[in-house]
Amino acid sequence: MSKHSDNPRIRPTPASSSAQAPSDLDLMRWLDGELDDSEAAPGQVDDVAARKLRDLELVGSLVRERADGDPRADGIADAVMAALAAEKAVPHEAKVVTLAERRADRVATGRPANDNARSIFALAALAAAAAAGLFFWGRGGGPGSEELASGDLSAPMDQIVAERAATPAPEAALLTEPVVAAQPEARPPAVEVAAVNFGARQGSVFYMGGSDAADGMTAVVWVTDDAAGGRP
Amino acid sequence: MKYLAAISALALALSALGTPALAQPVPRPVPAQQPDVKQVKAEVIVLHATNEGKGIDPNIGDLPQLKKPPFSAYDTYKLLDRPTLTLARGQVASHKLPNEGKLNVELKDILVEKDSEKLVVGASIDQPDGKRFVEMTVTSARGGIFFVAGPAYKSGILVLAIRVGVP
Repeated sequence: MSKHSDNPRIRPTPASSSAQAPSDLDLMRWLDGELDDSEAAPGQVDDVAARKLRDLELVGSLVRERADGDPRADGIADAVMAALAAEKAVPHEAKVVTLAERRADRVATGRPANDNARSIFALAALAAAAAAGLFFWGRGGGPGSEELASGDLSAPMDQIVAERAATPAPEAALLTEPVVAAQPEARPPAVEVAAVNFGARQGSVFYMGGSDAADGMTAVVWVTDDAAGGRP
Repeated sequence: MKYLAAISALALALSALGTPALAQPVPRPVPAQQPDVKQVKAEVIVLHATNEGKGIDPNIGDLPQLKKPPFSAYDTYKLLDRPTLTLARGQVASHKLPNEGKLNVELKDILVEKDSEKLVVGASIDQPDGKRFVEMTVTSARGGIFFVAGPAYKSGILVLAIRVGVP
């Protein structure tokens, strides 16, 4: 697979700031002996390229070690080349870009093919956005933080509210979610429900606008009494 | 470079997960002044809500909330009672409801912060058999009104509008 099984060229040298980072393809081609020494030797560029070369060397040696003991490996190179030749015989309409053109394009952009910095920065931006979202979610208390209680009347009310806020039952959370009704503009509420205990019943807490602009929002504690027939 | 960016992103995410509790100062309750107020009054408007198509009783007065959700679920509101309770701090004032249940209201505290004053009021409704129907604690400015709705009564429900701190 390689004629550089113990290649002395794989050693890092101080990278020049103006050096063009080799692509992975160039590294593989160089390791396979497809690039001669007159071309840029990627192993002499920097530590990263040298490490990649060492890794490729290790993988190649492992594959060779296993392949040498497997009779199916006999002639596999010829089979691959034959398959490639057959593939070339099929006409394709794909755009053909020569290696020279690709290199020229890469030089023009100044960015190596294995440059993932843009993706990394995109992920960093996404993480920052998520962090900001979590931060504000944490400050706001999150969904259901205003949810009020329904539970055992014998328990202390503050305890019930805390428990309900921590672990709302799905159905109860749906039914007891506070609703802001008919509130054209946000005004500080004149009345706030600090705690409510619906006992075993379902209930809702609504906040709605007052009778005039001087009034803030008012609160409505609506209990569903089964004898009266359901929710509002 | 990319490792630095990845580590930065990871640090940002971890800090966001870990810091809300640390970054936010724990709100400390402002010590409330205790004004020398012994009692306040509360007006209770007891309404019967049904769907009889009779509209809103004009004797109720100015309660525009009754025309809006969730009250608009009923099209008829009739005034049944309009007592005024005197709320003394730490004492429960009770009033019998038309369904033989009982309304209990208590002035728990008065909080004064700068120029604003908040009344902390506890309210509960007992069923005719004495069992607790609902209980709550509200904070309200003087003159603020809150509603408690739900007890079944004669093919409808009772709606209580409680205005605290009335003159």
